[in-house]
Amino acid sequence: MQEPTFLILTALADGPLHGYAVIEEVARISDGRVKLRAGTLYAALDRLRGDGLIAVHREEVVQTRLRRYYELTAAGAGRLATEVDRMRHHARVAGQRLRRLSPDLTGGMA
Amino acid sequence: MTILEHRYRRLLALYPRRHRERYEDEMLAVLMADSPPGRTRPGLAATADLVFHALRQRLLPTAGGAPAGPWRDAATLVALLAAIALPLVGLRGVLAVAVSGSGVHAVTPYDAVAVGLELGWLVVLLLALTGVRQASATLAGLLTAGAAVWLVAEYLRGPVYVDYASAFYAWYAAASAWIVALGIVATVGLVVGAPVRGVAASIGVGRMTAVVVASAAAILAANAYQLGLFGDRYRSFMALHEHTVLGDAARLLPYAGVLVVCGLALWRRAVPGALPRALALLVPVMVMRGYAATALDYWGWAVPSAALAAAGWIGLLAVPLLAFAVALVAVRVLGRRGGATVPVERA
Repeated sequence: MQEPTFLILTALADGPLHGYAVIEEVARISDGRVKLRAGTLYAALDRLRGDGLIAVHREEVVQTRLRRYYELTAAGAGRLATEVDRMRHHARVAGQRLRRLSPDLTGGMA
Repeated sequence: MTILEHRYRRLLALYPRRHRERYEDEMLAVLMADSPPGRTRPGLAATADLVFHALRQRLLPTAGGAPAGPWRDAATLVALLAAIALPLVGLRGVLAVAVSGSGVHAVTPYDAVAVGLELGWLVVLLLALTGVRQASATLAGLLTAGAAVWLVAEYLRGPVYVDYASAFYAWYAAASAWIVALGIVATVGLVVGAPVRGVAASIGVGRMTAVVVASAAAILAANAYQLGLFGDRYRSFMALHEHTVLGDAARLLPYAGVLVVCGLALWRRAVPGALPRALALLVPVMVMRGYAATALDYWGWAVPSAALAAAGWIGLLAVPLLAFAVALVAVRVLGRRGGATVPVERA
């Protein structure tokens, strides 16, 4: 799973969000490192919708502008959980090996 | 509707209808919310992002979700090869000027621009290999557009078809058209192709590097020889401007050699069926190059007839397209003979 996709699913794990809120939330989760643009965001949302990982929650019109809220589906939550397990496993192995290599290198790790 | 909103809508119009019907209003709201107050023009990054994804949606209706099939791998391979070949063409220009010396081949701003546009592909290659796909595709598009503008400017430099001197520019433009064609094929490859890193990873970084170095060495060595780097300078000037069927066949040999080297190096590593498809994508470019150099020789452009000139340009487009159609049929026939080429899902 690519990083933007992972971050979008993570953003929606906290509850339904509209497009611009997803951009803000992804920036917050990644400490400002990932700044999604509209074209990238909607390419990902369209794909995730097609794969059944997210769904439209509701639509609102705010100051004449359309806001569509997206939510994580059960399949999306499952996919995110699998990805988290995979990343956790990789991080654990990397941490163990780093500790063997040099205990100093794992200074910031739990 | 504000000016900014109007401009965003024009960009969103690049998306296919299905996508616009679903997301246009929503995307417009996001774009407006993401724009600082007082802005009247879409930013460069936002524009590049929209153009890139609109093209992807048009060219790949299931953009992103599609499996990495052999055509998408082939498109990426071709983009990589083009990004290697075009800087070498630019380097050939630098070599040509170096060996021609002063007087014989005066360096004009046109030459400098052409060489710059070709060397710029080195940056495209670096961006593509580091995984910055959108930036590499955007730069590739800009360089291709620049080359197309250069071509038209070159064509219009003199009163065309009046005498031999002006005919030279027309010939030169026709002979350079393949660079624009290769740029278009490579740009489309970067937009719709399989992720460069995935293709590079499946082939192996060492193998990829070997292919790049071998291609560069073969093309440079051939050019150095053709330009008479080690010999008489007048001959090297003539080598640049003389075209014969045999001479051009010989000129294409190193490129064919590079293709064989790449083929052998990538064989069985690339997704099954990617290589013949990559060749098929390169066929129209190679045919355009060969056709311009042989059928449309320099003197042929000195005809005082607009009709004959138009026929020349139509041929320059139609012959490569015809060759591409033949190549597509060949890929299909080979695919049937060699068994199924099943698209491989790449994580």
